[in-house]
Amino acid sequence: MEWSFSEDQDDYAEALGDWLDDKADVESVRSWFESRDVGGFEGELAEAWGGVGISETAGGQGGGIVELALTAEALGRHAAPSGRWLATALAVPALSGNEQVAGEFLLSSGLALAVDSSHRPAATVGAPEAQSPSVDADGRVTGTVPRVLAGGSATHLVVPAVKDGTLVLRLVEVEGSAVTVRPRKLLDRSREVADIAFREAPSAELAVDADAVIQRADELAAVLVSADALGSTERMLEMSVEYSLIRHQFGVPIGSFQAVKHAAASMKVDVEAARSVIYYAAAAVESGQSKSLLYSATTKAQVGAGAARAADSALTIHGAIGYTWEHDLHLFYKRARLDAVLLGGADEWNRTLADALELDG
Amino acid sequence: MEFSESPEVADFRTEVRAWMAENLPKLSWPEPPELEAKLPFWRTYQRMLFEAGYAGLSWSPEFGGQGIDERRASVFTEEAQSAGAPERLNTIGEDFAGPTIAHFGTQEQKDAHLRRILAGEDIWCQLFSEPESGSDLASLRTKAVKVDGGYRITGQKIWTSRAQLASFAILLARTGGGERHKGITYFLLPMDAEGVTVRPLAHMLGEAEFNEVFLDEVFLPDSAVVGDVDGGWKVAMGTLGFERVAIATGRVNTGQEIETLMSQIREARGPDSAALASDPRVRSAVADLYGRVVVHGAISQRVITGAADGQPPGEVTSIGKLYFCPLVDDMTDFALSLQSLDGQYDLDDEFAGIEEPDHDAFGGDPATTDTPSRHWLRLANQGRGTAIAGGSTFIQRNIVSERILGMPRK
Ligand SMILES: Cc1cc2nc3c(=O)[nH]c(=O)nc-3n(C[C@H](O)[C@H](O)[C@H](O)COP(=O)(O)OP(=O)(O)OC[C@H]3O[C@@H](n4cnc5c(N)ncnc54)[C@H](O)[C@@H]3O)c2cc1C
Repeated sequence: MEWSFSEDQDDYAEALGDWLDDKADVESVRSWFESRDVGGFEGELAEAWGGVGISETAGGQGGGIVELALTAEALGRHAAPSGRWLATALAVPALSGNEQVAGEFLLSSGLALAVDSSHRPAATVGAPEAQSPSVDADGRVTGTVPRVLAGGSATHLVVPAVKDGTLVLRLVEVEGSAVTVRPRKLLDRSREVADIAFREAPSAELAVDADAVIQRADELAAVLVSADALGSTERMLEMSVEYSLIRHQFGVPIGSFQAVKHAAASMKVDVEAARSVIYYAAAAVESGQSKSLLYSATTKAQVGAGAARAADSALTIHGAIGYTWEHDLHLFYKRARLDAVLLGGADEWNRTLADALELDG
Repeated sequence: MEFSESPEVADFRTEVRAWMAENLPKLSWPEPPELEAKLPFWRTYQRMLFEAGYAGLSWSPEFGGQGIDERRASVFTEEAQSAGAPERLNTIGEDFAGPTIAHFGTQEQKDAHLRRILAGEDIWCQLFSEPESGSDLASLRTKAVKVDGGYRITGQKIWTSRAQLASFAILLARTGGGERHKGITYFLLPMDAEGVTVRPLAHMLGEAEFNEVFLDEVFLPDSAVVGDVDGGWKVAMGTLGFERVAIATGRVNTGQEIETLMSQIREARGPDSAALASDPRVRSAVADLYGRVVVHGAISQRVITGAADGQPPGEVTSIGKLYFCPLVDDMTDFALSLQSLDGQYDLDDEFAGIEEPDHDAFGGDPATTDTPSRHWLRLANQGRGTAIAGGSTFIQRNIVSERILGMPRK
């Protein structure tokens, strides 16, 4: 394989990084979090960059999962609100072939995939014991889905539902009394989830291969949440190194103590290992590799665990100041820890991987 | 990011695979497990590679190499490993002494040595470490005293891998032009020179892998110096850089090892006769190891892409070793833990690792080649050694924090 970014990809990452430095500086991020109002930023983000990494047939501007991962990484680095962006990216393949509608959703980021975000998408959809919503003969959807990513702000939901025993995807408009939304507050305020109940909600058919869309959502979820964790972990590493050079104890910078240096070096190993495997998996998914699920499952399991580990090292290096609300570290700390479990934690993805490895022959 | 291989690389892979399939069976298998017995076996193989044009792939044709890019060279390594090619005994010659001579050596040195390395004629060893100078290499004491036409060298080296097989060595000695790293010179030493004594040292499992080497007034001519007199540190750092690339891309093919482990698990049963592969803890451990192998593979691809594009070995190279060593430890320990006593048989236990004894007769032949558990045991041990050699894990973390992250040295 060729593990390197194209010039276009480098340029894109730089332009997006500059834009985020300007729009999502840490003071702004904190003020959105304090007021729990992230909608304004998410709207601007979607308008400016929503089409990047989405194919033209799905209403985007082209590019693929590598560009999406670069976006996720940059958002994670800035602790910028991104639940709506991610939810739209996961759901929009369901509208493929419907460029115009899809394109509008990309610009508004008002679309979400109605799956339980504490698991990987395919885990709760279509399995026989799953309590998937059902669709009646008139196309009305009934059922509940807990913890839908960006469920509290989406205007439309792509709902995996069972119709006559098969998995289908239906588009449901949230407005109206047939859909009840119960937003939940997460420690990490850059993203939110909501429990959603459908009571005979009118829906439109989405004529796509439902299984393929859910599988795509699985791979996207694994790679993009991992890339988000990479961004926030790298930022925590930088904060830790900077702090270790200015904080003095015993008459010297704490960064000269080997325990501190080695903790930082181990974070660096986690960061570069994560970067290596995330873009490796992204390239595998993009090229339609038959083993791409192995690589994306690996990525989510390995990167999530590494990010949670690195977050704790960053906290240790900062001492008590890092433990305060006032210091910015917790924005990234909480983000990395949510990333470690969002859309499936290491154990769940490792189970997926073990199944895919066909250990029992 | 391009996952698939270019047609040229894919063609090269097919070609190498075919060559291996046709030629490896010509060797007189099985490959002996002990180092000394391996030498003639390896030499035949290296000769075949040389004649087929597969030795020194990334070396310049000027020195008998093939002058192809690092990517194809790495494809060759992958294919050789997955075809089960013999162990490479001359990694020091091919991976770091050779490149150092090619980079820093005189024309005469290049002519004298490089082709012989590729043809499998000379095995090389590295005389850097001393009893009092390990991590702190710049404190080394072996002395080179100027005499007419050359130097007289006296001192003791230690931990010298494969010195018992080697015909040449790269050697660091103090010529005294300055303190510490300012007074060191880099030499090429024929191991049969008068005054060189090699005494094997057994490693933890009892096999002689490395050695003590005593140098008693050994004469070396001026032409044995590589680089400048008192300027050997720069050359030594070049050598260590080549060594790190080799370690980062992996001495051990973890991809191959995890496949071996998985196929053993698919067959294995636990004490309750239940298939091991259905035990959730085994499944979760295997998935985690497999995941780490994929990450290691991705890191290697990044190192190789960088090298093929002519970038200097950068950050990923330094972190490669830190990622790789614990992975080998954990994989081998897990493999051995599946039959907990398997990792405890001595290497001279003739029945170690053969299937459960046949209760009727205790028949069966003693093992002549490495059994699965012995394979894991050796690898487990080798992994520990690799973590110390070429800069210990702690030293690597010093390097990452100081040179990459910019943290203070003191
Ligand atoms: C299998 C094997 C093969 C080898 N082959 C060769 C060879 O072919 N040629 C050759 O020249 N050498 C060889 N070596 C030697 C190797 O390079 C040294 O062992 C290594 O550099 C460490 O030196 P040491 O063993 O003296 O340990 P020491 O330097 O004494 O270190 C002991 C402990 O102290 C720690 N330590 C030391 N300094 C620091 C520091 N500044 N910060 C933090 N921790 C520190 C180390 O990490 C280690 O944990 C080999 C070693 C092994 C194990």
